Amino acid sequence: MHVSISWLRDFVTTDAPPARIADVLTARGFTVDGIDEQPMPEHIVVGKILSLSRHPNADRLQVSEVDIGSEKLQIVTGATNFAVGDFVPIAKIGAVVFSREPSADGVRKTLAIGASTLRGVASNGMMCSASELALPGEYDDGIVILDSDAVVGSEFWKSVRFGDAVLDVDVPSNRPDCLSVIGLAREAAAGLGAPFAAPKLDAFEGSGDPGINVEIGDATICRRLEGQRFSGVGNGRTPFWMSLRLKASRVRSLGLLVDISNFVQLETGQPLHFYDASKIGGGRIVARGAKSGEIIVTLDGVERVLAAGTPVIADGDGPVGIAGIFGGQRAAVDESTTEVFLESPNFVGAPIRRAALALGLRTEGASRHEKNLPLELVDLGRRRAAQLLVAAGAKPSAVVSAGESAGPARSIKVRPERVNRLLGWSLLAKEMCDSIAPIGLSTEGSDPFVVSIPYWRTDLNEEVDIIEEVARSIGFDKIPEWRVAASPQSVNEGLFVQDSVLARSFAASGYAECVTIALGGSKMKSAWERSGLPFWAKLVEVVNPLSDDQRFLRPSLLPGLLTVATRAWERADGAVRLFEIGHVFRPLASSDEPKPGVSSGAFDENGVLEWPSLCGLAMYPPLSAEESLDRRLLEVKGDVVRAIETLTREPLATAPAPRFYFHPGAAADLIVGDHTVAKFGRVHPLLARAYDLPADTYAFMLYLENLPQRRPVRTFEPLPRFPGTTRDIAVVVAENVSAQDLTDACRANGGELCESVRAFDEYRGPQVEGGKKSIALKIALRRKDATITDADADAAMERILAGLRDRFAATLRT
Amino acid sequence: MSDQLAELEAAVLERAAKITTRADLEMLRTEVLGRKGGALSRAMSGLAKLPPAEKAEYGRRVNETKRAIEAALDAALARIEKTEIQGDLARTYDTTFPGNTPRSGGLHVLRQTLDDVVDFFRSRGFAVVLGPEVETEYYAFEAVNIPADHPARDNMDTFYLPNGSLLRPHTSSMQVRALKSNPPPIAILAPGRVYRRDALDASHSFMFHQIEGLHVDRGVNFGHLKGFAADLCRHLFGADRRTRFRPSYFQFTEPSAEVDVSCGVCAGRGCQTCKGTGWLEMGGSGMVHPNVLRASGYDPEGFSGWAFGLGTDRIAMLRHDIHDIRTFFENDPRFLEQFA
Ligand SMILES: [Zn+2]
Repeated sequence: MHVSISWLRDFVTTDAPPARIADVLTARGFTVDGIDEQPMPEHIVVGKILSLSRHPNADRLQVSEVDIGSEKLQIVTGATNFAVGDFVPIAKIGAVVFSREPSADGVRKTLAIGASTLRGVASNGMMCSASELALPGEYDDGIVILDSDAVVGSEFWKSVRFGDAVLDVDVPSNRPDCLSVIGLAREAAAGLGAPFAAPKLDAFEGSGDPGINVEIGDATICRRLEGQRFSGVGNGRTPFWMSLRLKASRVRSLGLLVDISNFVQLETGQPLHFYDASKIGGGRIVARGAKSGEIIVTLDGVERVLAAGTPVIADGDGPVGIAGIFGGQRAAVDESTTEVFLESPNFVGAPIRRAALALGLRTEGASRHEKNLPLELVDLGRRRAAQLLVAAGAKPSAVVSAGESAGPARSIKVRPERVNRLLGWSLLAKEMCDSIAPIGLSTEGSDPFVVSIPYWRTDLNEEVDIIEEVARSIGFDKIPEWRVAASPQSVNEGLFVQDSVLARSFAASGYAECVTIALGGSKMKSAWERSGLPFWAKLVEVVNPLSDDQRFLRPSLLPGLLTVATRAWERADGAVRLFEIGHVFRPLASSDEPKPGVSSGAFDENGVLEWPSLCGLAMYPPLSAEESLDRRLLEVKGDVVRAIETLTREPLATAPAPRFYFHPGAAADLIVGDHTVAKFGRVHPLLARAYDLPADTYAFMLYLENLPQRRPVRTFEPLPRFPGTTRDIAVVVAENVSAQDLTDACRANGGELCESVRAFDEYRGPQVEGGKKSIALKIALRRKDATITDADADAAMERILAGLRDRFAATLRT
Repeated sequence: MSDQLAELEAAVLERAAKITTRADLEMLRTEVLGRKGGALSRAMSGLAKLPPAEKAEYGRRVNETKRAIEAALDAALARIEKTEIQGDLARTYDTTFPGNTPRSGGLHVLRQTLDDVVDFFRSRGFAVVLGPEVETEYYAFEAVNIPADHPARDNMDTFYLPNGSLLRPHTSSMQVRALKSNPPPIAILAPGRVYRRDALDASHSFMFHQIEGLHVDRGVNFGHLKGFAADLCRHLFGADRRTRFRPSYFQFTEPSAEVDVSCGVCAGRGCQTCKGTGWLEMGGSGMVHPNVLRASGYDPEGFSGWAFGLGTDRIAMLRHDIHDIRTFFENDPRFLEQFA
């Protein structure tokens, strides 16, 4: 909310500079985001135009005689928007005002006023436009015309009751009382220790029957209505001082009646509405829910069909406004209005909020009413509006009202010990009570003390709310700092530990961690579909996306990472390795890729299957020599295995397993026990091409929920006491025999002596017969009880080879 | 015969003194001391032909010769090694060539930031918990004292999913989850992604990261929160940084406070980074609202606690002078590398 310091000073008596007032408000919870200093040029006074005549030598200039009280000045001007008898601001000789020229680099040029002669006629001063005085808001180019009650010769800034600065105050949503000048003034006064004067307003009640009654048709919508008729007033000119304050508060000036309702809303916090009394049918307005299909044309000219129950104000002929949200056109005031009917309402927050959301009309009035304003504001707002209307010459009728009256003040019991215990402080009860008195919280007793809650503080409901008021009033900065370590937790940190361990493993293997946006849209989908491969069919869709990028939750980390890879590969001069850890989402019962058992780390209690995933990508420049063994695939596999081994040393099996996004011949699962813990493979060439990636692009995903969250404590295995031996062999087998088949068989047949088996090379070519391949194996042999002899080793190798022969028709390659 | 031995010894010693390479030395060793066909073993073979009386004397002579030759060869080896080391030491290397870094990977700057925050919390006895990003209205709103139709829901424009669940707009949804699933005392931090219905620009992202700190026990007070926040800011930004508590409003805390840290660019005097205020917003905090404790089955008369919500992205932006939040999610390799 923007509020001018001069408006605040109507209620606080203070000479404090704007910056100090801003600090005080910020420290009390009303953060001042900006201070717009108002330049106040000196030697500007109110002048009255006494006469006007044509300039003898220039058609476009006029010569005027202006009374400024102390003297009469002859001023030559080019402006034409004023007449004899008007009051205007006069810059006297010696004044420095702002130039009309547009500002260069944000600094406005100034213009010093001196005695001059224009085309042979002396001119001793200048009539000022709004821009020459740097007044807020938008104005046309003409001279400022002041109100007719202005005092000739008086100082301009005093006369218009404006100056100093405009504060941009951030009001928290629980304090609708401070969405008003009076509320902010009360807080500023308390913070400054300055006197605060609440407005004392007469009732401004006439005796005539308004001819229009007010009724509550539905008490769940409206708690109170007051109405009053004013005669002899139209939507005419707004007093200049009022329009200045509105403009300073970023509100446009739109005619007297609209301006008064905005002004009163800003000053008191009470929203008001004016109707043209002659257009109200049936002699009454009623607050009720709309009937199904009722139609209203709102002030913006839009015809709206109202849902049943929408809060409306209706007259005998139907709705004349959407209650508290938006006025209707039918009974609106306009230029011809001379009789107005003022409505000052109190609506129930929830229905107003629901209707405003449903209609997409988040108006200022709606956002105030939805906060459940106090009943007491209804009369305050009406009185202030009546005062301003009467000042403008209107004649008030009697006041009509309906609905609840304000109840007695609520009270809250506060235990001083509780205040100190929650704040970590040691205040006396008296200090607590004294601190909150300036904001209208009166207290009785001391332990406990009873706080009586003023009507405007609808946010204070229990003891802890008063504790905050005490803390805020004395100052958060005065509360002592305490230090303590929490006692050890029984909380399971496993998921986070797992993330950290794996991230570090992949980082150490040369992978750069990425963080991509977990929402996607048609861009993500079409990038993938350029490959001709299908995107995940069942997606968790967002009901209310704001843009196309927010249509669904990612079903996998792969599409996002591929997009990152495209950019990374563009600039790469070698291998590129990327990974990401994050949640992925599928609708429950999605079947296009069955998920292994959901255990720790996955969430499905919210109707969506959500689980943490780790995805990696590695891209390599093309190899010069082609080899049958894809060493890059094995390098990537090795990176995955190393990461898995940071969490478990259980035996890891590899099982070829096609996935639609992998090359069908280069994809496998890594399995521990009964669970797939990872999958890896070469990215499908069509997919690689769609993302402008090289053919040598590999990907892997870890099933985090199937991996231990932290590495179990290992038991030490005594180091071997006797030397062992290794034997390398190469066996020729059919194409369908895998390295894993051979190593498993070696282990089985080697018996106790076989310590480890590792396949380390593959060969196809002239030295082996067609359709077959040779696989090289390194076999480590060791006895636990003695040094292994050549004879022991030969016998073991004999058994191993026999086994390979029987099982795979393997022959030793020589 | 003895003369032959003396001649052999003299000849070998003379040759050994001239040898400069290991290969020549090895060749000489084999030639003289080799088991089969070596000069000395040939000399030994003459032993059998000698009369028994001379055998012992001759044998002694052969051994003497052998020892002398061995000593000479060892001395030659020592001399060669010394020369080699001297030669090695005479070399100079250009150590200014760049080192060979085999692979360069690294952790994302957001994880590094989180790790630093986690380090601090853990040092104070806190533990890390993770939770779902797809949340129920209950944990996201109702449990943290934001009932249906409450205007506070507007401040967090939320993504909804077809079955009525939503994408959590804040990690405060973890408060009641943690309180319900663990016995008191509770001292946790819950980091994670959060989502708000925003357009993507330099300072807004519809996905960003928060860290929720929560400490609930008997006797936890606002002063503890102040002390903790002040220490955390110093840990993250430097020992000279001050903190400020500004009254604020959150549904789930009372009293509520915004925590500001003094601007590091201008040392609090006011500059463009801090919009002239001298302070930078760190996050929202406050004492856990009694209604939140009640929703978790805790008696607010017995237990109290504080909550502190931090923006991971914001902390990283402030610490590393990053001005556009989108930088984190674009993953430009040159960006990733800078923080690897
Ligand atoms: Zn600064």
